Amino acid sequence: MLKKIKIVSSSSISPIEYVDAYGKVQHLFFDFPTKEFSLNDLCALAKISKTSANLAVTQLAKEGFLKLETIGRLWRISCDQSHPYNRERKIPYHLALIYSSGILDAVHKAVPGARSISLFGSIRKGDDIESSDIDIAVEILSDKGPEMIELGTVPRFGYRKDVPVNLHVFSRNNIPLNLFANIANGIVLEGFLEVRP
Amino acid sequence: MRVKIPDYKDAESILDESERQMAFTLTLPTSDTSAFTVVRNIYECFRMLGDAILVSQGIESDDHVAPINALLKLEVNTSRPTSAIDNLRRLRRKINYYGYHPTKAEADDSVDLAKSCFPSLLGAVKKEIADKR
Repeated sequence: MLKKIKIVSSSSISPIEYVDAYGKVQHLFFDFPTKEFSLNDLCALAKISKTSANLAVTQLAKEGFLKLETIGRLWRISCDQSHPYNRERKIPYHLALIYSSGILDAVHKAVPGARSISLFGSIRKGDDIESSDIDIAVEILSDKGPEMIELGTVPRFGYRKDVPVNLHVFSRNNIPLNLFANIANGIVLEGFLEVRP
Repeated sequence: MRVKIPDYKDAESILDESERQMAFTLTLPTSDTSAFTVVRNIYECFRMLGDAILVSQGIESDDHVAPINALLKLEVNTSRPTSAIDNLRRLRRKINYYGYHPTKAEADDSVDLAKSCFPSLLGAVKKEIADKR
């Protein structure tokens, strides 16, 4: 049983801090796609002014990414989970968070013989929600069957907190075909994953 | 990286030595004890192939990435993908700088990769250098 590893980011600035209000609002809904926010909640969480938030929300609603519901004088803001931004912008955003989160260093500590490290599952596909785990596949050379290890939690993953990281350690010599196909359709974060036609 | 005059003789010497060292390394028995030597030697032979390409182009590289990248650019037909050589580079780095102890399985995999890719790559590098002369 692996002792849970503390996952520490190598960067002191999170990628969510680089962007303007428009980007921050988008990122907030990428991280909390099923939640509804009022404009005040959104401003507090994204740390932006009400004026900037208003402009960003209006623009994103015009683009169809956000849904606005007016209750009296209040806005209830939610995300349209079928909008293409949830793939074309959300996946690269989460990829940047993974690279800066320190997960790769933690994987190397936990599995020193890692040949390739891949991101698969809901975060790779962009259909993750706030309670989703980060699924990482690690290829090693052995004859053992696949094993799932709870690596630890990422203290801050965008606007989410304490996100669990699951390692699926596998060897190509002993893995069910469907699991391997899922992994092979993921995103290789490091190393080279060999596949055969 | 330093740009120098292309040295075809040096490139051919590196190729010959790489071929010789690989032939010897593949005769070594693999075990958990010998794994680090086998992995490192096989990697070194691949790196020398890449280095021969660079020397023939008049390039002196500062690191191991450039020779391996030069090697991976070659179009050859192999039973395993040549990009797997980059995994070998990372493995050698772990052994040399992070105290990683490779296993027999890793040594066997390196031998398999060498058998699958080295002859074709050697032929391709030889041809590339001969064409330039």
